[in-house]
Amino acid sequence: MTNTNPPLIIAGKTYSSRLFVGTGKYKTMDLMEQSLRASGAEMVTVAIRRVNLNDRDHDDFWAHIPKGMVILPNTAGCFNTADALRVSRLAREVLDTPLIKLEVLGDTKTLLPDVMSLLEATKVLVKEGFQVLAYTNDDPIVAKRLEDLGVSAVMPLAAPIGSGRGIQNPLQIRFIREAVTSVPVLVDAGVGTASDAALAMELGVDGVLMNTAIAEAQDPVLMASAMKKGVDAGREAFLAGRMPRRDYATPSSPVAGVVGHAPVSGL
Amino acid sequence: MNLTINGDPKTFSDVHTLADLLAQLNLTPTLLACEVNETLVPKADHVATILKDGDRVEIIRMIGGG
Repeated sequence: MTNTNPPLIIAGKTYSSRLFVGTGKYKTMDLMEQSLRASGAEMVTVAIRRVNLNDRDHDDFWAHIPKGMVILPNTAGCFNTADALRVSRLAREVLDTPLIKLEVLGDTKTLLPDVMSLLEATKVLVKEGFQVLAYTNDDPIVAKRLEDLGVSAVMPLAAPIGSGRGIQNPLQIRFIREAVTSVPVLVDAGVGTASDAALAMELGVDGVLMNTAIAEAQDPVLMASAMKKGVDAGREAFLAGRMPRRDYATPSSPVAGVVGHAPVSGL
Repeated sequence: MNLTINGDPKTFSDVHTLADLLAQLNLTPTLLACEVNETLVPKADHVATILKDGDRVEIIRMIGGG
């Protein structure tokens, strides 16, 4: 191989899997556990919520997270800086981890990030010693600002959360890849199927984070396996370096020695 | 003592500290976070945190999410 494959390091820890998965929306805890294992992921996201004192069904959640997984708590559902800071500090208390997937949303319909509040919250959390993985828009300028503020990873969306539409703006994902040089770039949200994950990786990002694409598949365990392969295939294709795109055909077989009459272009 | 737990009003007897409250609710303090009147109370301080009538307590854990 001519292109080396540098290890993926996030907040000081090396990951051999470039797929990161969520733990929401699974029909059963067993299905979640099997899907997490099939994905090969080494880091999973969790949400931070009130204990439901009237329904303790979720008390066994932790037992279904495979041991050794890095747990990345998120600030999902926060629509302003103050809430995002509060939930980050609660997450640190719950899990005793400095890691936080910081999302500050701006709108309930699209769940798109409020990047002004995101930058504000990032500044505070980095100062408090958090290792911030910032969920952001597919905007290279904001990505660069986040890098400058000291995040541990920049995580642009492929498409709105849970939309499964795949990468809407591949050019800007590539720009973000070029702009952010000191920390990993992970595509987070909007992936629908394995080819979306492969495309993300072919654009040169360091990893892909997803939840709904696996959890809402007809067979989540099989989709988790497909995502793992999609991410691996996309990574290898990126490292291999694709051939140039051409407008017209170029023969794969030699043009010299063809038996028969010389053809003419119909165009 | 009347407390508001995660937004719901509840009445307790024999609860003096935050640690007492968690015990009465059958909750182990690992993998939880607690706020009293919107101030985070670290696990190490649960035993020393005296609750008073009308306090608002938030008990937080992790759950599936993306």
